[in-house]
Amino acid sequence: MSGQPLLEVSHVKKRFPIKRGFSTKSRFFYAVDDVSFRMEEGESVGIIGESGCGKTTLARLIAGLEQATEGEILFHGSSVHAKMGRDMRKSIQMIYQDPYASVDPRMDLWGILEEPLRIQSNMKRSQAEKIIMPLLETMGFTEDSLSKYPHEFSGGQIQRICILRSLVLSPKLLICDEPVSSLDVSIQAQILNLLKKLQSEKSLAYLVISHDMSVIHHISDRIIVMYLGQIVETATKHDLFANTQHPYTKALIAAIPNADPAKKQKKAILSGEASRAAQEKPGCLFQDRCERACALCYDQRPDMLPVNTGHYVACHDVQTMARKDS
Amino acid sequence: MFNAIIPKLCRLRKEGKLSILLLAISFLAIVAIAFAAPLLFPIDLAKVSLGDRLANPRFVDSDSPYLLGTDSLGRDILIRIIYATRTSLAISMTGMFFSLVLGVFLGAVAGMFGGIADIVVMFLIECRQAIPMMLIGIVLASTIGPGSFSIILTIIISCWSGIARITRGQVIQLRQSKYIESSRLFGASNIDIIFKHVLKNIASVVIVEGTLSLAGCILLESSLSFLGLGIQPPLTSLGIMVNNGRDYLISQWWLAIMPSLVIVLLSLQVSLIGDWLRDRMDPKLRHASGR
Amino acid sequence: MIRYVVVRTIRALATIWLVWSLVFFLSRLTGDPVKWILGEFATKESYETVASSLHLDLPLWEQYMRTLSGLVRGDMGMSYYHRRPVADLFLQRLGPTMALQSVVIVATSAIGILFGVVAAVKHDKLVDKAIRFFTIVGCTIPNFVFAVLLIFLFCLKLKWLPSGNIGSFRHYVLPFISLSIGPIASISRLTRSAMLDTLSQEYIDVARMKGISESAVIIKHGLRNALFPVVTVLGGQIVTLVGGAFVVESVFSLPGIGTLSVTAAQTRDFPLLQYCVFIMIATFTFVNLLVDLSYAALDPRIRDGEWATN
Repeated sequence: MSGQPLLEVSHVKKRFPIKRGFSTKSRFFYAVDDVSFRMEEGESVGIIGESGCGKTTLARLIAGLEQATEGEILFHGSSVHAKMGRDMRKSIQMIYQDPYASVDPRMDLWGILEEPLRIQSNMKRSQAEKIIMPLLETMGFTEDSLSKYPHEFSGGQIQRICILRSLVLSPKLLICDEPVSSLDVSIQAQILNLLKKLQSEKSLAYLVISHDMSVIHHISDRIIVMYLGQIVETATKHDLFANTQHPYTKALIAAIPNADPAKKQKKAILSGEASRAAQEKPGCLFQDRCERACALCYDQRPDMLPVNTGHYVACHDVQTMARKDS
Repeated sequence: MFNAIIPKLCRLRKEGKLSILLLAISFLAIVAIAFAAPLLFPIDLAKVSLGDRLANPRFVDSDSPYLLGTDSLGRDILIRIIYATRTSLAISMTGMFFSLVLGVFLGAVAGMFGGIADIVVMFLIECRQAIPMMLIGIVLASTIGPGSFSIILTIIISCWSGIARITRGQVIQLRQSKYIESSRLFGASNIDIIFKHVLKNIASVVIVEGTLSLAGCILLESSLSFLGLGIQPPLTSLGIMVNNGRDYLISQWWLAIMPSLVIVLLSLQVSLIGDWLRDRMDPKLRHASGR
Repeated sequence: MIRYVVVRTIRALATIWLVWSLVFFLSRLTGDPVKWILGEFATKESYETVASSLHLDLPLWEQYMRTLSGLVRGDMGMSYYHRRPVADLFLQRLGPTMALQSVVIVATSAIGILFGVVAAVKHDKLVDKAIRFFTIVGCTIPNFVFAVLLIFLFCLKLKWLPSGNIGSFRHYVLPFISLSIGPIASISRLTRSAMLDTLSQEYIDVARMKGISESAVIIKHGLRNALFPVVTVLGGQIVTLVGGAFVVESVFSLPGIGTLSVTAAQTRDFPLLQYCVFIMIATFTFVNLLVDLSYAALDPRIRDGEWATN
């Protein structure tokens, strides 16, 4: 398996029908519109974007919870889709935004943790204990918490339980959809640090989805910026912040609250709201909100082109500038 | 011991739980006595004693050995009421149980699998709701013959759709929940999910609906027996007793009224217990069953 | 919209057909109608004569197709006992039932909704408590018990009203009351809770603050929205009401469809029973269809939904 990327997403599209009253023609909007990227083992990739940009749908496609309309997702060379076999399920796991919704309120902690093992291989209790107990200790839980129910734990604790549960099957890729958005700020750092610690211990790859740039900054090695179903920029964390290219990315970074009032912030004010209607017009999806839109932007969708090693941008303005420089 | 009970009762009253406790106890007492009837009051239901016919009850004639009098064939009304309650409850509960099983099964399948299964089940529910329950009972009594079996079948056919509809609604809601999705991530099949998660989480709703429907079943059985299309002699039912008592309404009114009161009492208790159970759960249920 | 109408109509027809066929097969497969008619000791000749005249000697599928084509043509067959077309018998008895049911349906809806609204508006006051008590009583006492109690009180003890048959308006009073109490209780309970829900919504407060009079608030804003769940249930209430007719007509010896069906069931007169079932199902299904179509015409969301799921 050497040389093969852990995850390869190729030109994936996912569309949903828009229901209209009297019209019989089906109209669609693309939640994920021609997305391609790769991940290596042990890598940590963050996907950032506003709500409605398709990041959650993309995560669900990769997790095998939805079926892509077009395109291919390969994990270690095997196809990922909604009806894939149990075996494949072991390697890709996911944790959600709302920890309490992610666990069955009527199941005790032991039941919750044991469920993946039981579904996969109908393991005996003694065997399951061998796997679960060490993980339990790493997370800071004691044996008597095993008989407790979800409502007896705090949000942060439940999220840790969910992380624990997802690790029970020793996955290679963990998708985290807004893992800390519903937690208190003080707990957020705890969870993120826990995730980082686990990554180095277990050579896990992470795909972290968030709308919060500071979360993405904290945990990612590489960042993908999405807008209305498309990737607009992707780079290593360092490059993205040091050499921001796409106007949308600039606006996102500028919006990060700065705790130091003495530092002046360059305000890149983003006007308007992302709306699906933009998909029905030709040209760049960002045209309505971009200060630097030009005639080409209204006409043609920009391609993802490299601006540096490992740094890609989809923006006519950037590409025109780059050509001028060369 | 009494010193411990009284404060406990007062606390329950404050919590509003005293009434439901009394209600539950009285209902269980009735059920216990009714089902123990052959042990407590062993009689031959077919035996008549014409010499004692139409004796007065004790509240009319204080010398009477019969608490509630006797009927036109000389049989002790009180004992017959106890046996009739037994039959009515046994039939209603059996019917209710099987309709719960059928309703939950079809509702869960429809909700979980969707597609054709859902279309078929919803269509069947619609068909069933287009027919009055009494008509189902009448047709069944006419074709397969009246009796316990036809009533149980009538109850099953009448009540499964309400349960199925509610189960289906709950399952569809649950299907969206994140923990069910998590189970899919581990590779759980629909069957796994139904048994491990769905059944537990719909249990309370189903129990409430079952209890509330039980009252309806008791009434359905009585109505059918009243028309002679239900329980057949030598077994007796409260409905039969009311019907038989109709001819004597003008003089021995207790023959019809006493069994009527028992029907009302049973139905009332079950309804109130069901209402209390439902109020204890979330208010969402009010809209789920449209009551 | 057209698609919805077509699909919904097909479903309605399928419902009628399914129930009708079930009754047919149940009646043919659960015993021998000829034996029921002639009794245990019929001679072979009389058995064969009766069987062939009633077409009961044909194989089951042929019988089914015969009856089905008869249904489509409008020929519903003859009653086993009365030797007259079932349609005639039915029509003859329709009068008392229609007279009673039409009044009951309108009255119970109106009174039920009225009670519910009053109870909701006068929430927790004496009126509300009285109506709620009435609701509990009405929902738990079966209609035949009401009938018996009413006869006892008003016919035997007070001698105010007749207890059986038809002849004048007075004969319908007690049947009307027996039939109505249950549904009134049920509808008023539902209306009350729907109204309470609606009245606690924010837009009601907004309307009040606008200065609209209290009764306008209640009727215009509250009632209109509260009525939605109630009207949805009314369709089912009509089914229950007609269900009650079987017992109530029997108790009061009203010569209506209810007693006709019960007697048909008791004497195993299957063509007659099947016809009664057919007409009732057709009526309910048709009414439901009309209600659904008018809902769909008013609320676009229903039109666009999946055709099978609600």
